[in-house]
Amino acid sequence: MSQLVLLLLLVPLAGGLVTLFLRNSGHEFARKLALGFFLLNLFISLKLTWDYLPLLEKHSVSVDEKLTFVPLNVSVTVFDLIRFQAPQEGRPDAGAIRFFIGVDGLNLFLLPLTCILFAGSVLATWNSIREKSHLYYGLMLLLQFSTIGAFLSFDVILFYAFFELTLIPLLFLIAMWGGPNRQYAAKKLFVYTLGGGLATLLGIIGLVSSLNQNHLDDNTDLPITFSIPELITASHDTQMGLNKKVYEAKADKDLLNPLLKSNLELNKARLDYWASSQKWIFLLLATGFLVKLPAFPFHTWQPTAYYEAPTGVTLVLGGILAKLGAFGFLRLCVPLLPVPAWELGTYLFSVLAMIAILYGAACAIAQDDLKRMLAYSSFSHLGFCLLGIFALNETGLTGSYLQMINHGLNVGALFFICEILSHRYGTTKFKDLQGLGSKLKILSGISVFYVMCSVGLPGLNGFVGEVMCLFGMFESKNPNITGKVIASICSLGMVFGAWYLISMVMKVFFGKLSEPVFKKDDSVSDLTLIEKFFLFPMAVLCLILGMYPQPMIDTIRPEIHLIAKLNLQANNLLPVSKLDK
Amino acid sequence: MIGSLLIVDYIQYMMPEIMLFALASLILLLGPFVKKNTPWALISTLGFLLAYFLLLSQKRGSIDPSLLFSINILEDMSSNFIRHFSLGMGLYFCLLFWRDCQTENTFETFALLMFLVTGCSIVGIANDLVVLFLGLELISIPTYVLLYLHGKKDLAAESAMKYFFLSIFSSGLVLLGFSYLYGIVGTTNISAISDALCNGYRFKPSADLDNSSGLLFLIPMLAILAGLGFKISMVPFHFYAPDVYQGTTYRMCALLATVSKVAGFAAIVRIFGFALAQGALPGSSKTLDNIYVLFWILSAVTMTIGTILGLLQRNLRRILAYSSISHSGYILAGIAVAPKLELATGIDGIGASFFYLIAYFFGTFGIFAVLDVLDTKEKPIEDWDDLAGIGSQTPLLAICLAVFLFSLIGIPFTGGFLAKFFIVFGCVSVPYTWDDALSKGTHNLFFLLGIIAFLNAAVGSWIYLRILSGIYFKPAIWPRVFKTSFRPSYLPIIGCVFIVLALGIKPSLVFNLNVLKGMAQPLNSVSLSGIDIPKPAEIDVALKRQ
Repeated sequence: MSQLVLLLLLVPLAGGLVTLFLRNSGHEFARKLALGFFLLNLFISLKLTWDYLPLLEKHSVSVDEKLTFVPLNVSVTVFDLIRFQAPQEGRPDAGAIRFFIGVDGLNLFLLPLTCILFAGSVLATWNSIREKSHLYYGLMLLLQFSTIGAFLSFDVILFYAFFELTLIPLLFLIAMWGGPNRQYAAKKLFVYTLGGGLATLLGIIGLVSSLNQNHLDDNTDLPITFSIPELITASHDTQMGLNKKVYEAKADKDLLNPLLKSNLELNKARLDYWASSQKWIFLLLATGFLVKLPAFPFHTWQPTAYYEAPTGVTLVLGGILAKLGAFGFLRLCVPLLPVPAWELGTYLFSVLAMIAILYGAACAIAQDDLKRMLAYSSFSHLGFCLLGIFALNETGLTGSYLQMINHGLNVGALFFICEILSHRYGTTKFKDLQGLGSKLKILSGISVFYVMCSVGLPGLNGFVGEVMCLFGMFESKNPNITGKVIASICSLGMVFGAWYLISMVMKVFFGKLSEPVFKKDDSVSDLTLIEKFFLFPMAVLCLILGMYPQPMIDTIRPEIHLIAKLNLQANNLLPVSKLDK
Repeated sequence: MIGSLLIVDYIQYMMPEIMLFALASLILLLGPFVKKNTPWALISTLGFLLAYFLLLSQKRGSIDPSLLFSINILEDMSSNFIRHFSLGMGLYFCLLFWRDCQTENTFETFALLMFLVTGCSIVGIANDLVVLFLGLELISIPTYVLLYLHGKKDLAAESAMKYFFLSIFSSGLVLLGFSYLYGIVGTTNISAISDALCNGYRFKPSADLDNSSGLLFLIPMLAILAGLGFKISMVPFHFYAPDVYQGTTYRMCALLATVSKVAGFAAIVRIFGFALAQGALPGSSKTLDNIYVLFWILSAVTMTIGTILGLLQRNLRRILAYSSISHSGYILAGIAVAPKLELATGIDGIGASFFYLIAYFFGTFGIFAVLDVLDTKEKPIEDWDDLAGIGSQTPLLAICLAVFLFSLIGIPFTGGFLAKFFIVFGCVSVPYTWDDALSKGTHNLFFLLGIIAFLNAAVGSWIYLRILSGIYFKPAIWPRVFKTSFRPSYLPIIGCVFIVLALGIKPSLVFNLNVLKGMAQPLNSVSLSGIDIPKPAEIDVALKRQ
């Protein structure tokens, strides 16, 4: 079964390399072959999910025991890539960057989502990519390879490598097939994301090297490790140990003993230093993920990139690649550095999320173009993800995870519809497209359904995630923020979302028919079979996830529980008011 | 400490260099008298292969380390590394210059190339200031001639002259430093000098160890660093690079950007080695304790200025010249951090620098080699938008070029990424102790250097993206009929692609990472008086290649 995980990674790689070099066999063959690879990978990912679901029960126990991420036993694929220290006994991870991939509850559902959206993206651009299609589909496969790699990695450096590798296919895809201003958009995306990524790498390095130094005991050295589970354990142990030393000693009355007292001073200095260095590391780590997400001050690359990219790529960008940012928070930032996440993250990022939600919604209202509006709407909805994560309780974290999946499905479908319109009419401007409902009946029906999903109509999937994020924030007991106020303000975002999405529907699908003047010969037809093949099963999926999300919540519970618990334990001994300096 | 190597031992040890030198002299002597179409390229390639074979067949540890104070060559990890590296470079350049078979001055080219490589190799093994200087000059003098022979007709003279004068000036500075050092210490043996620098006056027992002696040593060291700064195009001695590159062919650019840099860094590590050794605790080198601050500043300035000025250029040669300057900055960062790292850290500043040098060599060489193939008489390539349309006209070469550019940007799964990673990992993992404000300050200082390095890497990516967008995203200006016939320079290009990717994924495929470890602890690092010489067995293990 562990071969399945490796296969999931290798199929798109092999497919991408093969497709890239199909120079002379024509457009038709290239796209069919690529679709074959995408469907094969979709099948593998579904099989994987199906196989692993029953195993998760046992797995949840071990997660609870070890108090760190545990990739499912059978699914771990490991070998050394770069070893710079001899391995220690019982710690194969010490002193080496390893190829370490596996499946756990956190990434289990993101894998099929990735595969579905990539397959959907190929279907969306089935007819619109005509030039150099072997390159386009090859690069798409490579993009899928790097995305899946990032989701599967359990080694920080490997994670970072895949995370950053997504940039190269994206650069080419946007700059070669995008809109009129594509080169600028592609380069802007590249430099922004590379800069953010390098900040993340610096944070990772800082974390690894500061955990290498033993803060609890000067006499023994901890091994260098790059494995995420081990890093979480080390970080947690350090924090707990220091907390214990400082606060338990304080409880002792015999501080009159000068030796004990100087010891306490030293430990306090250590705790202070560890806290301040954690803060820096946390901010550095978060930068890359904020850029990727994107969140408020780092979002300026997003509208241009989303708008200029070919819609197939925009679909993937909004549906999956943005989730890499949120996934980075869940996998690295929050569990590795619970204290700054609690003290700094909640405060800073919930405000950023609030700004993103409202500002994105306001921008979306002002747009006159469907694709641009969807870009800003995506920006606004991803704010909920960030909000949920930094509620730092189980409700919020679960909500943010559900929002990741649901937003992926919704935004994927909406960009798919956008591509249908732009392929048929050559434009996505609202002033050109009006009252299409009377002509394209099935398309309007399904569009209204997806818009309702995205708006967050109760019973549909968009609702569950957003509401849970808001509840999580509402419940938040963090003294740094007033969760209730923030949650109430953010809930305005849902109202705004309904406003711009429904007014979009009104403009585009209802009212008097007004189409752009045509140059093409073929008349505009309703949904083709290929398009139905993507949109209808997706709609069923949205409905199921909206009505009955419980199985998914149960599956991810161990990991969510773990993140919340790590947080709670690390911060338990450390109420802000008690830190007398 | 008495006794020396016999002449036989010298010959035996330096066989590869001697062989190359003799072959080069022979070619120069016979060249004018034999037929025009003699396959000089083939002969010199075979010469390099033979030299490499001789090097491989040499047995390790043939030089007794206890003789260090009296011999003028030595064998340690960095010397071995430099020898292998320079012979490999020679082979690559031979294949790159192969196309010159038809032109008139073929034999001179190849002979000079062999002198150059011999010089680089000698710099690696030198344990004596005079030998070191000999090696450096053996690189410089052939470079002047090659620059003139291979220049573009109108600019060749200017570029050769510029390089000549500045190089002479830098040699002068190095010589000044060397003679000053000799004046202080009374010997030209580098091990002995390092020992003296570690322990204060050893050879003039009357002088006492106070701060003034440290200042006295600082003058020659700075002069030497300035002189070597020209070789590695370090700011503020960088300004010749863009002008000289602009006036010459891509092949010569490759030569200028790599060989002299490798030799320059080898020389820096050799001379400053005692102060840069990992775990060189404060006090072990009394005179140059704070040299890391100087290297810190030089490194930050070099990488920043290289990046910023690179952004302003249009000419490809100038862009790549500034890129080579900024990469020198990253390498210097590894050197700066070296003395502050503990042995247990697992990362080694000098080792990281040399890893960077390797990744840099293969990336840069690859770019210049590809450009050299593309640059034809009918369609010269000057600016970055001259590359328009290459992506569709010669897709394979374009992919190679893209791989090299990505490596220089530092994208994961290429050598450039791991190189930057090692450097910054070194910078960030400077240890600190709890109660020592100074060590915390140093820690933060180097963390800042890591931030500067990554900022530069992010900004610098724009430079390479522009080249890349020239290759792929611009429509071809006019159709190019590209001859697809095989040429020997394809071999090193393929080699470079393979090595760049392998370095990024699993470096142990290419070479043993342990070779890089502890490179800064040459046998001469710690004073020989109370010495513990590493046992030959340990050295053997570490030297085991592949």
